[in-house]
Amino acid sequence: MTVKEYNNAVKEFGDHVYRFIYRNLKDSHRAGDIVQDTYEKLWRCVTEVEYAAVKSWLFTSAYNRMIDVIRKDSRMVDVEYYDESSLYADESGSDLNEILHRALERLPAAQRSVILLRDYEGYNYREIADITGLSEAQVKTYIFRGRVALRNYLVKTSVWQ
Amino acid sequence: MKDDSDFPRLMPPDDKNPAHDGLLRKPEDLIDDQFDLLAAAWSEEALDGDQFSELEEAMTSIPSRKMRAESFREVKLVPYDDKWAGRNRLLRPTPATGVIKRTLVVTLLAAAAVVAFIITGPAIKSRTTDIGPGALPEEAVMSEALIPEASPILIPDSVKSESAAVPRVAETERPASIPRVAETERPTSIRTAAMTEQEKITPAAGTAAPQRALPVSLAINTVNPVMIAAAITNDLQTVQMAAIIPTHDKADNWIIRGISLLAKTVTKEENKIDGYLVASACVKGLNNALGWEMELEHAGNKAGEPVAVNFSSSLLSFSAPVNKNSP
Repeated sequence: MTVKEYNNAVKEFGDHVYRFIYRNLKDSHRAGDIVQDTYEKLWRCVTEVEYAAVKSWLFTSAYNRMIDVIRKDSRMVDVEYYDESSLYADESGSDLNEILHRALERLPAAQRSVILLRDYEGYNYREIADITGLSEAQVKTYIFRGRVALRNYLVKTSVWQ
Repeated sequence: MKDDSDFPRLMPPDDKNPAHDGLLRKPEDLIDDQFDLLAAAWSEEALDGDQFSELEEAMTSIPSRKMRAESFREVKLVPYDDKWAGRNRLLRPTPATGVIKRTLVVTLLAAAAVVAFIITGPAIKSRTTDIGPGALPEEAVMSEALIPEASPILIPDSVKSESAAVPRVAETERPASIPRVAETERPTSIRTAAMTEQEKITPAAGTAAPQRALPVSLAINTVNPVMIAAAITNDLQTVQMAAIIPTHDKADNWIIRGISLLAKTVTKEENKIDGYLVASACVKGLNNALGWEMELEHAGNKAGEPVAVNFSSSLLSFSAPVNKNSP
């Protein structure tokens, strides 16, 4: 990858990576730090990464860095101990996309990440599996369960009857 | 011995499960949670042929489930327009942009120089001192030449008599009210002009001190050196330093006047334009255009009055005192 291609990667994918991390962490400073670390890492191996694969490389690197941060802060919500009762609040009168994003914050980190990659970036299951290190079947399961949880949130908060 | 007798095997009886038919399920038997997972997959277009047909069958048998499945199509996140503020900081200069950047740096430095000129230009006026008509700055006094004693200049008697007949301008024309610098502030050097010609050209007997002598051209000419010294002194006394050094009054600052006129034309209002306002606008414009992070701010004293302007960027920083008389 050339310097010009690196700069294109910054311009083209910087905001995408940032919002993926930001929507996972809901912390703009940490998201900015993670994205900056990711691009610094990319710059160090700029000659080894092909431009065609750089977007996937960026998301993979940023995702792994985010997981490290979450584990370090012990903020990861374990799927087994997921408290569904904390999901619901009164959302009547709010914008649907806004409600969905609030519901997303209440999902387990793994489900949140794969749904964001799917909806925001339009990755297929195979690509999401490569980025997150999960199997393709796991990715599908997380996405489908995440969708069900989001829909249930809409129903139980009286947005949908 | 046969194998069958050595290792006897059980033959399975033909037992039948009496509740076999009761275990069979139809698509409409799927509970809601199971149906939701299938519907979610359907909304993702991730179902294969058999799964898809079974879901359709389930939706057909229970009409409300069709709406339920359709609702999953709306459970899609639309990305917000989140912008990463630090994006431009990670851009790396390419060789082409390096050339452009160097050009911009030169331009920026020139702009900074203009800004500094606008801010500090009027301060030049404050450096000029009030000089009275009878006082001269030290630098304006003519220097004197020392000629070694070994090279005396002798003037013929005829020339001496002509010189003596010439009236001495310095002592006749100068009003007594005007202080003579030659006699007050620079006694050593002016004494050369005040001494009689005889004293100058004839070394004092018995002294080895170096003598001050006039140039040959003056000595042999008919012009009295005292006349010249007095005339020069008179001319110098009339010089005003404030008239020599250009000042930058508000009326003379064509940059400020031009910008004020432009602002008045655009906004149709009388705007008070000062150097800080112009410089601040320049800095903001460059920041917006180039994505740089330059800062220009006033530094005030305890009373809140601005005393200095601080400029800082990654390439250049300076602090300029504020002249309260500046426009």
